[in-house]
Amino acid sequence: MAVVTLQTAVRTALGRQGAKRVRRQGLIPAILYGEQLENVNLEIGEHALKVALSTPAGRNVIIEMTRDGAEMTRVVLRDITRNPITRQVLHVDFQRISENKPINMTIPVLLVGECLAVSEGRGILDHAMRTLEIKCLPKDIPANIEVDVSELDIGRVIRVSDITVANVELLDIPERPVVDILLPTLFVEDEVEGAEPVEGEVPAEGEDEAVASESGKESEEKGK
Amino acid sequence: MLEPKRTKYRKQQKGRNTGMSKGATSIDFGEYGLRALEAGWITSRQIEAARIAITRHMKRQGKLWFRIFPDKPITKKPAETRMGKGKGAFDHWVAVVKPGRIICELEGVDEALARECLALASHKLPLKVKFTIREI
Repeated sequence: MAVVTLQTAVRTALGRQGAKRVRRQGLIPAILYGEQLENVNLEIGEHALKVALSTPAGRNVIIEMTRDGAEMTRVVLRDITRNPITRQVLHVDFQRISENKPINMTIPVLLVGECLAVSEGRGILDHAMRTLEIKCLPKDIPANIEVDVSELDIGRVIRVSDITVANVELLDIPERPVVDILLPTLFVEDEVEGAEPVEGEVPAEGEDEAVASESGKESEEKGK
Repeated sequence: MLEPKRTKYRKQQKGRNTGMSKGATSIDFGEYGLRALEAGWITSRQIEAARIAITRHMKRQGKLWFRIFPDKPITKKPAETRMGKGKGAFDHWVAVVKPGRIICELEGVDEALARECLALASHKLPLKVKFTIREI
């Protein structure tokens, strides 16, 4: 587990306007919480945060946070709020950690090996879960979870239950597929004219995006 | 083309499209995507045209997700009609899109092909969009 240091300062400008003032100075407003201690409002340099998160482990690092007038605190990054268009960091959440208390983390899944079915063009690699929820001691946090896909073929699935990481408990549902191989789809042109809407019952929940992806699939015919 | 299976009411008011997208602002399913930079309406025909452009160019590779759904009915009065006499008849479906929204996502293709596919799709859309890569 990578350990990085981050210099911060206590923030006195609070609230929406206060946070805006901090951002105008080129700093990022942040908050520190956890371990049943008082929350602390912080401000951090944009560059310092960028450097801290630029290790190969990305966001999954233990940060040794120093701030004026307080001793060093070990924290993990919990959340980053970004502007939806510019993706500029607006706010960061940090959580205190204790050496002997397990914590929950979200770790990226790294696919290793070359899948024959994909390289031969017989299938499409479906990376269904790109991150896994884990629970472990801070010293055991892995930078990423490696999954070997070289043995994978059409119809075979690697599930959460098939993955084991030393000293780490996986919290996701064991039956959930992490990676599988799909048959390539064959595109067919179909034009169905939209009918006038008919008043009826309230549309079913989750229709929004589920239908979007499903109806896309419907109009494509399975190849071979 | 995409449309809701049933609706509670046949017609809707126009509404105002202000502010930025609240959800679907990060790439969650695929590796590459198109992000809306403007607010507007995207019709079900435009979504279908973009989908066809992408799937034709991908040639049986990759996987595609559309993260918008046209669930707003738009009405239109016939040509050369005087004002009044009630709201026009249903014409088409649109998806309401705000800036920052991920419109579609791609997976299973390399970046160069994804850029080509999404550039083709962007030409079918009425908004300014930007090619986006999944963040770590």
